[in-house]
Amino acid sequence: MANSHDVVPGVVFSTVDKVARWAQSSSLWPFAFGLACCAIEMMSTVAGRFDIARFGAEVFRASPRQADLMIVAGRVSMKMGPVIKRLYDQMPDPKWVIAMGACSSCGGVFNNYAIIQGVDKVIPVDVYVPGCPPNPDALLYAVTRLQEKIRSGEARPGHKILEPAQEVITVESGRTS
Amino acid sequence: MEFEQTRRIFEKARERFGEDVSLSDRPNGEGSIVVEPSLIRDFTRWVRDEAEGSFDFFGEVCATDFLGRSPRFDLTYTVYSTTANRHLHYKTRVDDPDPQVDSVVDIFPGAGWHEREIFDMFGVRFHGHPDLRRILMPEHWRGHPLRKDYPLGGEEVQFSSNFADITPQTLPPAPGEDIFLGWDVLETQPSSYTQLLESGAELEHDGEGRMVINMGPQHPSTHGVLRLLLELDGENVVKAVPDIGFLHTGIEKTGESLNYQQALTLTDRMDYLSPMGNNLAFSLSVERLIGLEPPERATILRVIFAELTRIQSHLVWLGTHALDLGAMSAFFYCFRERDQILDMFEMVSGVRMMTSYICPGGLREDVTDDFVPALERFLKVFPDRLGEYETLLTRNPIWLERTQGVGKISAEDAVAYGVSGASLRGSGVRWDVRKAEPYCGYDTYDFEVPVGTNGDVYDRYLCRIEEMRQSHRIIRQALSRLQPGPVQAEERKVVPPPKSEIGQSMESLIHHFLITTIGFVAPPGEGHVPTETGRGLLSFYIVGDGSPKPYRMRARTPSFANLQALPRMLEGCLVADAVATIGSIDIVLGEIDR
Amino acid sequence: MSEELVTLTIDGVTVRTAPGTLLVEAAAQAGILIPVYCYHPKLAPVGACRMCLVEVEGAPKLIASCTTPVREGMVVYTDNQRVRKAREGILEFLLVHHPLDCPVCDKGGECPLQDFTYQFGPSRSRFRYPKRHWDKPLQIGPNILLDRERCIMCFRCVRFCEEISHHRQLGVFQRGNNQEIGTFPGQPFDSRFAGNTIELCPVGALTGAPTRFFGRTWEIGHTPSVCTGCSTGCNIRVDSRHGSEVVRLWSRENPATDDGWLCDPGRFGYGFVNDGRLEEPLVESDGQCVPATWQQAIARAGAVLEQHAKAGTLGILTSPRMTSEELFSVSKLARTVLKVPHLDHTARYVHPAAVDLRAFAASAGFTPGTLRDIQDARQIITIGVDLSREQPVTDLRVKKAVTQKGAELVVVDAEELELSAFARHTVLWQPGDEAATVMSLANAVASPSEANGMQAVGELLRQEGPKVVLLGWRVGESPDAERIGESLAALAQALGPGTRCVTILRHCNSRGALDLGVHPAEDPVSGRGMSGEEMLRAACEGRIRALWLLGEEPLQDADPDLVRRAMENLEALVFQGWSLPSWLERVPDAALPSTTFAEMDGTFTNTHGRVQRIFRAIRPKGKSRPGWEIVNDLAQALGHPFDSRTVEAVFEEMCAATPAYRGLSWNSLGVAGRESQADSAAAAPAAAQG
Repeated sequence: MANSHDVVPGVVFSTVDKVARWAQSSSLWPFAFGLACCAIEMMSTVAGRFDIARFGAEVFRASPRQADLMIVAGRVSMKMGPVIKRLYDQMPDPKWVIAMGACSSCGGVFNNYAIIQGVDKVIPVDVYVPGCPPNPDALLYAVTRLQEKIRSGEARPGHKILEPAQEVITVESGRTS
Repeated sequence: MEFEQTRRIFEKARERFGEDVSLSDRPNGEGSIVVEPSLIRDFTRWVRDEAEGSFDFFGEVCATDFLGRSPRFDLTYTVYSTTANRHLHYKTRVDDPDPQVDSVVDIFPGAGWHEREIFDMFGVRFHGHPDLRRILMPEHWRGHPLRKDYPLGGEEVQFSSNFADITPQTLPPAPGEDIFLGWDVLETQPSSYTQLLESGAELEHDGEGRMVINMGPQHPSTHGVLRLLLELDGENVVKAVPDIGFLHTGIEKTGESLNYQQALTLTDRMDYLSPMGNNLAFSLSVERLIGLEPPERATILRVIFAELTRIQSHLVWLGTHALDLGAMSAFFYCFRERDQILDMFEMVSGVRMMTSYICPGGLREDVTDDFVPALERFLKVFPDRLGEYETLLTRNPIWLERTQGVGKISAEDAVAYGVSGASLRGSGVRWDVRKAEPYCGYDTYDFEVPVGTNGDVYDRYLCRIEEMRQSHRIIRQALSRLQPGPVQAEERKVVPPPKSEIGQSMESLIHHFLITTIGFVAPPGEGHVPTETGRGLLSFYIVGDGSPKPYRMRARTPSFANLQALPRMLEGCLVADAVATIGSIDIVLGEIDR
Repeated sequence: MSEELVTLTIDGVTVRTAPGTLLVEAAAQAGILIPVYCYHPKLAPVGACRMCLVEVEGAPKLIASCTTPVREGMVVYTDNQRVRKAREGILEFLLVHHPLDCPVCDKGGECPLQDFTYQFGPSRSRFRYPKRHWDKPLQIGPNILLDRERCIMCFRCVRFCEEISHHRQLGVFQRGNNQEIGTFPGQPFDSRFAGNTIELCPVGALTGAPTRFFGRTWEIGHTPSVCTGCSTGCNIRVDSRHGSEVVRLWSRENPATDDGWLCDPGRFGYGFVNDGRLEEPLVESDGQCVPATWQQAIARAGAVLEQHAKAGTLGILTSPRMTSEELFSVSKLARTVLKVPHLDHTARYVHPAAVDLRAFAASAGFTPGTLRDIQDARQIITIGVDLSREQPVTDLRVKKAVTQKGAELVVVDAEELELSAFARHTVLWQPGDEAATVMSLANAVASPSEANGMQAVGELLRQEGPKVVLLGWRVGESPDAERIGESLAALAQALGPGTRCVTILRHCNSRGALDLGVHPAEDPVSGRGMSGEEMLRAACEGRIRALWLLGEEPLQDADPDLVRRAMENLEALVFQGWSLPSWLERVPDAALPSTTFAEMDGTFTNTHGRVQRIFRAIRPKGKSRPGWEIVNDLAQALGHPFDSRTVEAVFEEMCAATPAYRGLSWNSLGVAGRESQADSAAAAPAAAQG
């Protein structure tokens, strides 16, 4: 980051973008959105042994207006779908979504009339965490991957709400529509 | 519950009701009394008031769709006696088109939500029900999902071979595009409350403004996706109406399309705080249906795991309940012990939570060598840790202030609503299924069942703390009895043979092949064994039809009934007290909505 | 039949059944399952496996219910302690030498040995000794693998060869422990019906070589359909995997067409569905075929068709293996939009009088019959058709009538046929002399005193009927067909009224093509168009300059030299089909990929007029689409969009416009099909039933 022949002790040179991304990634404020069993493992992740606070993400906010990371932990039923959409819309930009567990990634064990087959049918997802439920370690890995993603500055057109999206791209999977 | 007991009650019923009652024809099951639909109310009243044992506790009413048979629907009622320690099944049958029967909600208030669920899932109407609306499915849903002619639904799974063909299904909608056609979220919410108000609930209009606020479905303190409509008079809750179904997963219907071993994995995900408790209840019911006894070692280990599950479930309860009320430290301490228990689960089954370790026939595998030392380590430290939690909370003035006198429910009300577990015992009713109708040899263990007196949040808290202590006691006793031996029943038509035999014996290979691919076959009949999980009375009602798949897999879950009583508990309390009360009844939405 | 029914009791259930019914069948009628291995309803019972043992009151030992006919007042127990013990014991013995092959055996998951062992057999083995071993598997024929270790000696395969196919290629050798099924030294099991033994074998001893390791039955989709190999219209079950490939064809009994059997060419002939497909539309560009979008291909094809239709230089050749809906759409486009009279479904020479062979036979005085009539006949005459090669499953029916029902067969053809071994008489005709031979036969039947060397045949055919004549398509392709028709009329007269005639057509939907008027003979609107053969000749002369070829069959069946010359001379070719033939020495202007029978819904009409539904089993390969959909697009491109947008709608429209199909509805076809109106004037009641 620093230009070596301009070293001034105690001062770091960088770009605004990079610093902003570093700050965002290191202090993600998750939205407390546990739906089902994965929520319990999410609680374990918050607790002392796995400690998500190490990654700066221990401030779980109850209100979507104050959160920037929605961890969809659990299965999304038909009745819950519109609610999730609404909550997602209420989150201010920039925001990220981790689909925690098999149910929110793809419907999981429940391929039936009641469960939406993957929360990515309703909102765009940045990181999918497989598992039923995923180990807290897996969730932490997902958080670190998300942090990498944030820091890399990858474009996430799926999250744009200021411009109408022509294409919807889920970057993680690499497919374009 | 033995067939003979049912028969005795049936004889008396015969005297009273004559030819309109009959005994169902499964003598190696528990038996049930079949009642003419027109007499269901009289019979229910008779059962509650006059029948031998005075069945005061409403367990459940559930429906089974025998498509192709006339009458099509079986409604099975299960009532318990908290004094005589037994239960009774009775059935009535209603037919297409337009199946209907009288509601028994005024006799047993606990029937209210069960009848709503049957209406929602099967389309059976209940006369006289004050509020017959859908409860689990969204309001505007068409069709009755648990009917046999209703498709399971779902979508084609994407593999590499069909990737190109079904890709369009997996793309999310463009922002603004609504995938729920014709369903405006904004419209649904207010109108549902209006409907609630119009549906016959009494509202005292005293000229003052009342506010209706929405608590949930996303709320840190609702312990899941529960939506409560609170009608407030200032800070006081005048009326609370729970709106559930946000986690409805279609487990019962999915179970009908899987074989018994696969359906077992679904049960983990119902009450996700006590997965092994669900496995146990399911396994016991299936074993009852088949007529199978697991070996001694399996039974003892089942008790150990059931109690560990209970402890671990109560720890989550305590941690989150305390967190709701502001005591954040308790959360971290509780999860510390819980992780120790989950490590033990991972040792024996490879999974921390959804183990599916207790299965019909015994256990999946024997415990590993490091399990018993780990368990002993845990047992050694746990009492002190429990003492730590108590030190934090039990005599903490803030805690006392927030929990004493809050969320009260009387013993009569609790029993009438079918509230079970610590939520019932907090009100002074000493009824624990482990003592009342023992399973897995619980009658041979020495333990107490704590009861409270006031039926408030504090008493329920004390009950659960003590339950953890008693669980610890049970585990110690069980551990001391543990002897080497098999952990799976030797019935090769149900339990696959050990892998070592498959290379030697043709019969074993064939049985292993069929049991693994198609599943073992259960005979026609019913299996029902009530158990006590951390939340209360959990029982599975399994109807077998001679095929490898359950014809009906009904879960009577404690949180469903407990939540029904919540409005009662919330009458007259403050909004903050609502938070405390919800925490104290320890509900898990997974098992409410299934 | 007003016979007295026999009353007996099975497991407490009173059963009334016809005398002579086997006990195992009577139990099945009562809904009681008795496990069997060697018993099969179409084979004579042998009582070899002993699985069907039941207890009959009054008999000291258990009785094999598959060889015991019912008796009045019998009291039978099929599920008591003694019977259960016997079954367990039999299964234990069967499993003694059975190899531990389940994980690699094709039969696993659909195996009666597995299923009965689970239901009735022991849970544990007591056998501690080495099992006997054979080299395995043996490829005993081009399509069949034999695993002698798995064989449980039910002899179904050998009995099938002896009683049904009469291709005696399998036998039982050695005794006791060493008993094995095998072929005769040096002789392969290459019967055209070998594949049926795979279905009969209750274990994995006989398995299909082409379908080995197809997968497991529970991960396979099963879809009812109809075989497209010949015009019998055998009902099949298409087994598919991942919804994208056909892995196996299985029989699906329909007494009206196939009687429960399939032939090997049909059973194993599904490769064309999976491989070698035209998967995307192609257009010609600089002498090469390049991939294009559907829009481009349709536009190009439409342009060619329109241009040449207007100039009157367009010919249309459709495949008689296309579904009726596809044929109807093409015919509708040809007649109403393109106004092209030159439409045919074959490029072989067919005599104008015999284009519709069934009408030809009817005008000779024969009543149209169905394939089922064969087994009720007392005299069967085949004329100009080698069933064994041209309609194998019907060949089995004839053999059944002759060997099991005592029918008499007369074969009339150019040379001795395989069926001649079963015929009482074979009448040979010289090429060119068919009419005279048939006339002599007719005269021999008509008058006993006729001394033309056919007295014996005549006498045989004069006997009481019912009589069935099987008339082959080769008769229609003779330039002499008209005179043959006169001779046939005389024969019909001589054989008597009520003689049924089943005309054997070449392809699976030839009958459909004829019913729908996909031939030039009948066209009130545009006058008489050219036949397929005439179109090819006209192409050589330049009168036909463009061809719309659907499928490869019309050209494949035709004279190759003529085809080559015609192709060289064509200006334009539009091809529509499921695979571009490699021998087509011409780059088509547009190639439109269409779906095979496995990828779409539709109907075929079998040779005697039974309309049967096919159901979609797999997704269309690549970008292929059903032919009628492609025609809809062409119609749209040509400015005359069609209304019928679903296959059902096309079917309804087709039935309304086709006299033979009046009264049929999509839903009434079910999975077994329905008979169409054979010929309104002469339709016998049997032919019109569903």
